Amino acid sequence: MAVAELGSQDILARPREVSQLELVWGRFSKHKLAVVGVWVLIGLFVASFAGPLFSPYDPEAQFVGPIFGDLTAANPFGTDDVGRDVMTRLMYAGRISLLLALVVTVASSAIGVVVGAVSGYFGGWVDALAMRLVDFMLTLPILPLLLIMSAMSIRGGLPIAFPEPLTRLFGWIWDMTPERAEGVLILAVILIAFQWQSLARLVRGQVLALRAQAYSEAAQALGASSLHIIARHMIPNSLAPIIVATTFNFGGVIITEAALSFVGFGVQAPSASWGSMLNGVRDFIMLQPWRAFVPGLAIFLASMSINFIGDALRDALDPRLKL
Amino acid sequence: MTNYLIRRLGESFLVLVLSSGVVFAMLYLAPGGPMTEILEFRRQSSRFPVNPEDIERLKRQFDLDLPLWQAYTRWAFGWPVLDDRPNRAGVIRGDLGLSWRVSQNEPTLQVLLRPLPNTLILMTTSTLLALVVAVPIGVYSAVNQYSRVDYLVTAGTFLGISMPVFWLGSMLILLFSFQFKQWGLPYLPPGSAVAARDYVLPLLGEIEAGTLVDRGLRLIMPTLTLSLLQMAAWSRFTRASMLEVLRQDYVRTARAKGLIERFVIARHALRNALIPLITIVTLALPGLYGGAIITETIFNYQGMGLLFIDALTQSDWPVALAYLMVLSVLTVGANVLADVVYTLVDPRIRIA
Repeated sequence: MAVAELGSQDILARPREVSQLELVWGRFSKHKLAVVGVWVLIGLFVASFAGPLFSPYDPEAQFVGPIFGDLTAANPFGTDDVGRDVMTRLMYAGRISLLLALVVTVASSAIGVVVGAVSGYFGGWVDALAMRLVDFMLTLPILPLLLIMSAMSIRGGLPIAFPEPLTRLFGWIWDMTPERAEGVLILAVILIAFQWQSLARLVRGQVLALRAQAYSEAAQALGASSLHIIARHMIPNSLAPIIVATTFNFGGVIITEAALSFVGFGVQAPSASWGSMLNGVRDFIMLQPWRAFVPGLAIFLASMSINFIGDALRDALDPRLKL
Repeated sequence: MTNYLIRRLGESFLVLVLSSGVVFAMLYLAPGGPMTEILEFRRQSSRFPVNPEDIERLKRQFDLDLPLWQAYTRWAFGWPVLDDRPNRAGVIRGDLGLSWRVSQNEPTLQVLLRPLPNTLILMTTSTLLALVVAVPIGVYSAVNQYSRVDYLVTAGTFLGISMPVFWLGSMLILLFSFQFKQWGLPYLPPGSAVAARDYVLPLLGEIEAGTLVDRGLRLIMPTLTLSLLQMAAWSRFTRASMLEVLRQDYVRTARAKGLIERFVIARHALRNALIPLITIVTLALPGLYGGAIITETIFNYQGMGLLFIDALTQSDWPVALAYLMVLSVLTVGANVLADVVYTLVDPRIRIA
């Protein structure tokens, strides 16, 4: 009797299927700080991209308030040394900082994945050449090199021609002329050039391991092309570490861009990123040091949220990947 | 081992030649690079108009009229020797050329060596501080895994890793210089490595410029700023490495034979856990050195990083290039050193 009951109820009733996404989200949401991080990051994005629509000020309009104005209802973060509204500038700076970092991260990840996958899959001289290049670039002192290249580009030394629709699009998002947007995009290219190497190495390792698996051989035996195997088997199967590394890279790029802008070789005035706003208050730091607090806080919040999210993603996507 | 070392050093030399070549070429080919800067400078500083002969002479003086490869080999190796211009010994023999702007016509090496002591002091103190703090914290939180302190340490390391150094520096100035001054406490002077003149601090009295106390006070904030990131990263690493070692059989054996726990941790676990840390620290040193660029800028601390920023701002390419060379040598050297030290401290690793 009891057996019959079991059969009718528990065994035949198939357990509800848990999708991969639900599983990952379940593990991710256990990391409370990461969930907070997601909200903070969403908040920063919304404030930066939607916030300016509600601001009565132009980010570059001077004397909308007093010089070094205090915190008032009209200017919640005060006004700066030429009377610009700091809050409006912060939001526009967020557009530059966040979007620049996003572009750099996505582009460098794409390059890293392609180089790593091709290099790991084909091996031979392609692999040797690519990995020597990666080794070489990883032994270089990155920060000073970035500074030198950026310093040169500011003086017009790196002529990179972007298609006009691209500069117009970014100019529209950043509320600046296409020429100025081009300057920021050159900075993005410089950052991309030094950002893809570690991911290429990571993906290559993954692909080397995956290629030895039986299903890769089976796909080959079935006559699948190399491109198909790389795109449909190698890359999707190494997606977990790619996502994790990309998340951490995003945080890294935000900090690197801010550091470059902070010493004066990143985003150039009158455009501003969070890093260059921090640079802007350096001269007055002994008079009103609290002015350094807000732009830095934005960078700190963004980078910490991303680090928490990356940590939770690592646990959620691939529990074996514990570092 | 000897063969390995020779091969590694050979490779390192190639890397250096290649990287210096790339950077040299970039600076050399940059349109409107050095010449415009120099001519602009001459125009401002002299009453005489710049004539074509002057331009030719200047170009010759800086080897800018030569083809790229010749300019590079002359800069790097002092070859080929040409009749119409002074000989150069080349970087390989310690001749890094003359500075253009930061300290005009002074040998770059001298310019570079002047702020070296300040940077070395800053690096040594912050590395030591980071190690002294990170290792005990990492060990403690590993031994007491999942305790409240462990969670606190983990949260703290995340804070440290995410903290932008330039913001941390500004916040330290806000607290220790600005607020302390308002509260009437002995505040920390926020700029320069040495004071220009004597000054008075509350409670501490008069501080003589250039004394040990003066230098020490001015070192505190840069050291804290520079070491925080390393502190966070290294304590995290020590914790992970310690956790792994504590699971090993020989630790269980040591406990089983009745050793007291403290002895097991200090003698058997810690010593093995620290081996990978040696590599991490060695590899981090050039990064610390490069990271000092930002820290030195915040505190206006006269080190090599600040010199590099000055050189970039004033387009003094020889100085910038020389700084980059020093840093490249350090980075490449640290890579070789890390491998060698690793084999020395861990006899299980053999180099083929």
